[in-house]
Amino acid sequence: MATQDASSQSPTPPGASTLFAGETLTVYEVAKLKSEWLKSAKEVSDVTLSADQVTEVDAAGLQLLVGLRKWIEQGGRTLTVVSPTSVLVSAFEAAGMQDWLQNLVTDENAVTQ
Amino acid sequence: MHDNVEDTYREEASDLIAELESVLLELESQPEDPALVDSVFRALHTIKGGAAMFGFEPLAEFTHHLENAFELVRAGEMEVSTPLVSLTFQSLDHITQLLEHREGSESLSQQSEALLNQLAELVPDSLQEGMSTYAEAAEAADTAEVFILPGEEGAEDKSDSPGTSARPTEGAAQANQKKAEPKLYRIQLHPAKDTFRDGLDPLPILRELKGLGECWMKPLVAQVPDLPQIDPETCYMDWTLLLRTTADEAEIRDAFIFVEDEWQFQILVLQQQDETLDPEACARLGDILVSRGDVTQAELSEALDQQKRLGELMVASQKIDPEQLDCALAEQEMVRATQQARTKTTAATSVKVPAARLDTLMDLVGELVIAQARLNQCAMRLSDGDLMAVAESIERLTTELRENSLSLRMLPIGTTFGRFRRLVRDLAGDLGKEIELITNGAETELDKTIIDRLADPLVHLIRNAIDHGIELPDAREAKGKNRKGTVKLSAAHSESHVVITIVDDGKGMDVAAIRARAIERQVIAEEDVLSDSEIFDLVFEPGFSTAQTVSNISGRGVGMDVVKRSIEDLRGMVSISSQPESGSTIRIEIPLTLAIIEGLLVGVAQERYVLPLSLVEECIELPRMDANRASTKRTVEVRGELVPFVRLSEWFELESSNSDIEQVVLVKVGESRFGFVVDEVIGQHQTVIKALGKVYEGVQGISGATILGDGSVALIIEAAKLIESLRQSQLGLDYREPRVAGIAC
Repeated sequence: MATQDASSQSPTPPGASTLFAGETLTVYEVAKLKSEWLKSAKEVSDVTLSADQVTEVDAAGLQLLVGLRKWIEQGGRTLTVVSPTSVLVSAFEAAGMQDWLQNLVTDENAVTQ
Repeated sequence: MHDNVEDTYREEASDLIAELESVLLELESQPEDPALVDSVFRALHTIKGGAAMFGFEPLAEFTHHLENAFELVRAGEMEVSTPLVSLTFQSLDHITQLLEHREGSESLSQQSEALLNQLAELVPDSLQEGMSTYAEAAEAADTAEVFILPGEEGAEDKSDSPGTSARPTEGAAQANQKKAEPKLYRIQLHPAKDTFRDGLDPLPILRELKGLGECWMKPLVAQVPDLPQIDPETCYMDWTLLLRTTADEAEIRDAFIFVEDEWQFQILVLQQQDETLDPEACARLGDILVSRGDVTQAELSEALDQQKRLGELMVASQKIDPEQLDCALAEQEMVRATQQARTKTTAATSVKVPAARLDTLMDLVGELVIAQARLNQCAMRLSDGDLMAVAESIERLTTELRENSLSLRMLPIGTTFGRFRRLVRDLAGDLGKEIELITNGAETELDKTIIDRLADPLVHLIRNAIDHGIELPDAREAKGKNRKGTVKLSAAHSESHVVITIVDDGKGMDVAAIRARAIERQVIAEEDVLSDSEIFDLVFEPGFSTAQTVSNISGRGVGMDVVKRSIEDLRGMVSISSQPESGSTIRIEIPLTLAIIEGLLVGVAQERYVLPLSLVEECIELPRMDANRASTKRTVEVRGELVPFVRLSEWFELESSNSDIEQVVLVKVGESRFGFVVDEVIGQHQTVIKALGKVYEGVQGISGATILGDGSVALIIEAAKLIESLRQSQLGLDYREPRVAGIAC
């Protein structure tokens, strides 16, 4: 599921937006996630990706995150990943992209089990 | 997920299962051989990896436990025992079922549980706790220990730029350390654009590679578009890996076994940097200057610091991008650290091609052969020297191309022998017999199609030998025989054929019993006089069985006629010989290929026929007067031997020419010789076999057709069946007499 009840999350500062990676970050969800993320992050300065619900990831999901980061950073904005789950961290490690993820996570200890 | 990808996995997994069966049998007799244990472990690991990748979760989980057990064996903590081997065989059967049901089922799940419970009983209690679950293992593969590359601190670029990961990981497959020196491989992986759409995920493959040794991995993400532009179901990412491992290239390729048709990947063994290119050489120059007192160490360091490095220069001039620089630097570091002697750079030496493409290639070669025959005819008709020279060259090239194309389809028959070892082991166990299967000539090559279609008949014949031929151990001992019986399966080339024999040392066939059963079943009449070999052939008659009780192993009497028909469909022959108390021999003769044969083109009236050249012994002339004299008996004397013949013009009801001389083509079918009388012998002909349509497929004695250079059609004569038809026909009544005279047809 990509969408989530925003009221359960910490409040998003003005000019920023929180995106949700949902539970399934796989090829079956990437088209839907792309469309949601484009809509939610189009006109904000900074973007936070909440990844604390992710239980399933594949390379298509990782690739979508790469595309998201490129888009955000091209516009001079910043992307922060919050509370990546161990499943997500593990997938990044499998793809040789652990540093890539670490650069986006503000609190290194904020890995959700 | 596309069916063809799933099917590819199923096919590859089935091959691995067949290979495993063969290795397990060897392992049972050589339980201390670590190479065999390694082979079992690797095959199980590959099956599991593919299962996880293609979503065969129940299969992946089940195989994981089996793999665990063999990991303990590899570590020397558990022994290879007969119960373990037997259970592994059962597990392979179960894996085969799981392959057919990707999502599993309740009954399969119960079977999995039952087998795993049995497996748990074989694992010593002290080791049970150490065995990982499937889920734990999947996670462990990702979180393997990380360490810093030797010399990384001095690396030119230690940037934390996105996507950089200059940290190799030490994988789980440490058991390989006992093998040869580790080598450094560069693996460039380019998944197909449709990878995600095909339901494939590169991550399991990357995990598997990581598990092979010390691995540095660089994802190449420069091609990934930004979010608005990205097609999220297209794969844009590539990977470069540097892998230091004791695994050989074949083991690395195993990781790609299920995607090698779709993805591009290169595996190179990296050479050590040439001495003259080694940056160390520059340092030595500095050392010399320092030692000569020309410069101080501080001055040298200052000069080196000011010097712009090559990588920086290349990036600055936009000749390479930072990702390429990262890959090159990592490779440089790993080559340095490996300290290997020079190793050869080797590229992939084999390519896997779907069988359907080879079929298409053969079809095209067939058409080329026909076109080339036509060119030859044109050249001869026009009597143009230049054209004839070109036609000759093309003929030579076509012949080479044909032979090469045929060789691509050739596989060693040993690929099927493996499954028979399992069959013999299991059947012997079920029947309480002790039987050894001895195989010879496993390397003998045959067309893949023939091998596939031969497997079932061979299974039936071996079952028969075990069930009806080999006696129980006590009975054998009472006869003074070794308690352990043998079934010998051999294959060998014989001209353009392969001869397969199945020899058992059992009780042999009972001629009287077969004859009595044949009379009872009205297959023959009581007064028929038959030689022993003709009586043995009766077992190939439909519905014939001499077994006193029908077992589930053989003896249903529905098999031997099917065996014979299957072999004849392959243009082969089968015969039996047997000696009481010594055993039986079944001989199968099969052509090397079904696609193109060398034929002898002959003319009868206005028609053309092709006889397989491999059967032709010689051509002799028959003066018509002699032919008339022989017309009542239809035999011709060849060097003192009476050989029966038939005029094809009579058989096919054609108007023959009335020349004074007729031509007799003598063929040898099995042990019998036979003559076909034709009007003219035209010559050797490369015969591309085309199937007959439905209307003609039942015509006895004709196995197909071919197209000649002038576009006309020639029928291909199937000598064995034509002779059999003659025997049964009105015409053929005359042919029984020579048989009695010792010239069986």
